[in-house]
Amino acid sequence: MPRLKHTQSDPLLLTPLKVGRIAYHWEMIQANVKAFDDYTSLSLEEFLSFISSSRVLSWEIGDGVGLCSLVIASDVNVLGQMVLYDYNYRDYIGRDFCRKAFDLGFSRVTIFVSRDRESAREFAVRNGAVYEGRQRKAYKRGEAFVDVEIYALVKEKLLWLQQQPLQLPLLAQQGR
Amino acid sequence: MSPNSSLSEISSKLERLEWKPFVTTQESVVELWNKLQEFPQVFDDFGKGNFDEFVGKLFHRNNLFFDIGDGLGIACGFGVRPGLDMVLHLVMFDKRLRGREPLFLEMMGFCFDRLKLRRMTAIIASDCQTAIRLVQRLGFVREGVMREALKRNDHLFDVECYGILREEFDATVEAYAKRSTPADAA
Repeated sequence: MPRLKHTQSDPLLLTPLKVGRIAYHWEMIQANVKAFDDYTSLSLEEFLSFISSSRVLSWEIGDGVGLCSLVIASDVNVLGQMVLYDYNYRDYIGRDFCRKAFDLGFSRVTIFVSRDRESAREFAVRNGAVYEGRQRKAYKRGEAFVDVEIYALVKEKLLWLQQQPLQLPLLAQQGR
Repeated sequence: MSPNSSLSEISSKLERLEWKPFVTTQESVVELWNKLQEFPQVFDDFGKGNFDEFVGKLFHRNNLFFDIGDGLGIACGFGVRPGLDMVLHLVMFDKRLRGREPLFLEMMGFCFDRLKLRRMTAIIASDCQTAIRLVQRLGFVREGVMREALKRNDHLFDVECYGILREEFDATVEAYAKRSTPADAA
């Protein structure tokens, strides 16, 4: 499937994923299986289970332009996943996505990038992600095994975040 | 004598520990939960004091559990991706790890063979040096460090990522088998 063409102008907003939109995103991901690594290894049942898990928070990017999810790995660490159907990985979307994690009280966002996904790596690094290691043969693409690189954005070390006014973590705002 | 069969012989000679799939009954789940309270580092990713999450992980379709020595320990495979990878966790409630490597390798071999894994992963907090030394003895290779990825008792810890490929596992098994082969009689 060719890249999504749309007339939505920037900035695209991140809005909480609604149940009624899950089927749309499933179909868009299936139509772009070769273009993405995030979400694509899941069957429909696994995708539904993943999206509805209590440890996964998902947002729609724009009006059907993309999907992003935070998977809660620990009290401080979330794993980030993102797909953009117009293939345009805008830096501000990456930063807004990270801000969602930091506003929720997490202090780092981990990203796994297959070694052969140059544009995904560049997108992560442009937003301040730091290389932390490489899991060998950790992803299967077709019949071949590729390495997966580990990158992370740590809140205290992000220059672009230090230059922005900080928001209190969500729970602190609620007085908890 | 094949390396895998020699592992069984070696581990059974050292002490008569057997391992089998963990059978989930109400009693066994509660007993396991109570035992794990003495190992707070296990709760880094096993529910952290939340019993419902702990049970959820026990019954998750992508996780598997082995009982070692009838309640002496438990081995877990989290996030199993058949044909690819799983994350290994191990707890021995008598806190003895050294000397049991053949037993652990035997369980790993079962998973590698039955699940046709390409690799296995171990994720260990940097302050768990005993576990780190164990996985190194089992042939795992350090692949990365996730900075400040874990919080325990208000302290942030790095988390080290280790991995072992199938061929590296086979080499480790062969090395243990050779180490335990008695010298030829004169």
